[in-house]
Amino acid sequence: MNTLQIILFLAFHDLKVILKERNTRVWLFVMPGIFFYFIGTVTQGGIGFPGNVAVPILVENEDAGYIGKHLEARLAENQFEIIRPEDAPRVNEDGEEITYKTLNIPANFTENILAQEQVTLTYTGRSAGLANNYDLVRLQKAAYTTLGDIIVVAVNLPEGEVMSEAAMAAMLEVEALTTLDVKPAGRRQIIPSGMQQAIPGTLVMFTLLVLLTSGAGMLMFERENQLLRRLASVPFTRGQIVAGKWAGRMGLAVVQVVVAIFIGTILFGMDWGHSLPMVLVILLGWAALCTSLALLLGSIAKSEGQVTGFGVLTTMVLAALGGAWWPIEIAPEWMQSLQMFTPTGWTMDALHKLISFDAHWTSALPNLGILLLASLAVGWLAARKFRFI
Amino acid sequence: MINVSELQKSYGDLQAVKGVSFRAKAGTIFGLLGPNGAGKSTTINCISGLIKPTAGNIKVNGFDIISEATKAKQSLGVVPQELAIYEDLSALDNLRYWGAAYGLGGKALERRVNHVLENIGLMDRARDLPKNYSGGMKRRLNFGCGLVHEPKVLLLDEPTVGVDVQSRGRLFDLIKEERDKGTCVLYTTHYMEEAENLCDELAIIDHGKIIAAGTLQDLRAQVGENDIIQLSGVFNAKKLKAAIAKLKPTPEILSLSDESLALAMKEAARHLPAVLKAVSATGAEIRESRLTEPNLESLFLKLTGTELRA
Ligand SMILES: Nc1ncnc2c1ncn2[C@@H]1O[C@H](COP(=O)(O)OP(=O)(O)OP(=O)(O)O)[C@@H](O)[C@H]1O
Ligand SMILES: [Mg+2]
Repeated sequence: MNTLQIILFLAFHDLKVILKERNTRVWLFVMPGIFFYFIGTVTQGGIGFPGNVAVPILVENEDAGYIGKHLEARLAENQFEIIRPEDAPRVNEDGEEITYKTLNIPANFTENILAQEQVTLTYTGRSAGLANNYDLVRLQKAAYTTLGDIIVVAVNLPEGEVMSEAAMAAMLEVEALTTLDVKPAGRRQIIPSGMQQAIPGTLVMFTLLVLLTSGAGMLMFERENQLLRRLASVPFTRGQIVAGKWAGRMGLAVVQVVVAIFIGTILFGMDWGHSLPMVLVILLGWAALCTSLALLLGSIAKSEGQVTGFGVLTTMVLAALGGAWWPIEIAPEWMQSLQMFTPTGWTMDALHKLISFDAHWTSALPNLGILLLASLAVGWLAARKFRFI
Repeated sequence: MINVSELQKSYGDLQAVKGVSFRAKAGTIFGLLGPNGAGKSTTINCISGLIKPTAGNIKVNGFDIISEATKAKQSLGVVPQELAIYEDLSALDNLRYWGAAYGLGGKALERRVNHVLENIGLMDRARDLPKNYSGGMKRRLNFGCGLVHEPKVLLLDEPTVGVDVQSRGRLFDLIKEERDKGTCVLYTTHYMEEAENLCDELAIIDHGKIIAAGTLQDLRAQVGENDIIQLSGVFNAKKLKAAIAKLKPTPEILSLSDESLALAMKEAARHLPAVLKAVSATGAEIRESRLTEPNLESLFLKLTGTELRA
């Protein structure tokens, strides 16, 4: 066998053994679809950008003044549908009791604010979940915008005059100064939500997850079961063996990417934008980096448990920081600045540019370059750390 | 075919192998006999290229295992001491994989795989997954994986541990068959009987050093005609020494402590009553006595003062 044949021989064998594992097959073929659905549905309409469905909120407005109403207006802007207690049905069509997300605006809200005293808004929502977090974010946004409006009006107040309802109402007309306004580059100008975000994000996360658990774990397994020991006595060079192990895992990553693209397109009607070839190239670059990371983890870890623990943790952290779970554009600024230090971030940024913002394919070249460089660097380190026992 | 010279291997401060040299020829089974921790596996792992020796050099089929690794490994087949099989691949797939790794393919591979399956007695379970095998069956598969490709040099590291008597016999047949084809077999074991029955040449290794080497006859000659008497109980070492020195003929003391005594002498069976009487006379309490005819065990005892299996 020549070197290429040896590498392919090892790669196909590894892929075959990895795919024998039932867990791996479930994560590879079933879970992406479930996650697409789950994350895609939860984040749909939850982000507060045009085209999203408003979320009903029961507002108990006991305020006699005008700032309570102002807050209501800001809530409505943030994709809340305001329901008054007297209009709210107690039971639904099936006769089951309805629990509302409720916001209480206390009496003397306006009075207290004008007197510069502390006021408390009480929100009762569902306990946990991604959707609830988005509700909270939007609620806070409405509240802070209101606060911002008050400050702006107060600062511009001519000497000796008091704040008026009319001045506040005028604030609703002007472009808000205090809101966190995100203006991404590109043409579509819509921050991806729902499936458009969930599918690339989940795909990126899953590729890393499968590689860092199954891909790295398999190497650990082979070492613990003396199979690498036996392989060491086969007439292959160390370089050929490392390359074969890398190629097998790259095969796994490619299978994951292809399966996820397939499911996303067929079942969820994912629109991959106008530069599909570049999207694929970016995903291959990402797959290569995941592969190198898997090889490194499999070589430096001390046990299979360590591989899984570290693999899952790393994936979760990188996915969150890199914007694989939610569009990074809505994350706090400190997180947005961290994104560019994470490989998931490089990938998500490229995918957003290509898929959602319809940027020219060349705009993703820097991302591709850094992905390939990182794959090489990590791969080189993994090759050095590779061990048979 | 295997040429080991001045092999040394240290793990930190621990010198596992301290200058081992031997030569194993084609068409022979060369036994490396020694107790646990003697350095057998370390030696084998150096020969197979798995670990780098601290000093010394090793040639396999004329090629240096470090500088001409792939050429040397071309002739090599290894059966590691620990199981090294894919438990989620059938026996058939395991054998095919390791055979193919050495470049076997097509009909030649199938023929060889079937032959090995037959001899390791797994023909009727060939398509089952080894994870459902018994321990002994796994060991037999582990064994088979090392010789599918008909290596010129076969390294066997205690391949029969946990294998039942019948299967062991079959494995021995397979090893002998390889030997008769001209394969050089290096066989490590701590079973003296195995070494005596199977090996054409032997080296006895203890604490990382070869303490005796040669053919079975050479080694038997080293033992001499002395039988071994081993006693255990409660002794007074000082008084015993004096009492034994007075015996005619005088036995050679191999080891002596307050709990055990090992003596070597000719026609021990005839002199045993006198020995026991003398020992008792010192006030000793004898709990157990054993008499062994000259064999490797007694050679080991003679050379090291300790039992092989201790
Ligand atoms: N990786 C290692 N690190 C440290 N010490 C080791 C290592 N491998 C072996 N040793 C030590 O080297 C010595 C020789 O071990 P080795 O495995 O070669 O013995 P052995 O003759 O094969 O014994 P056994 O019959 O139990 O298999 C032992 O003292 C062992 O503890
Ligand atoms: Mg051993």
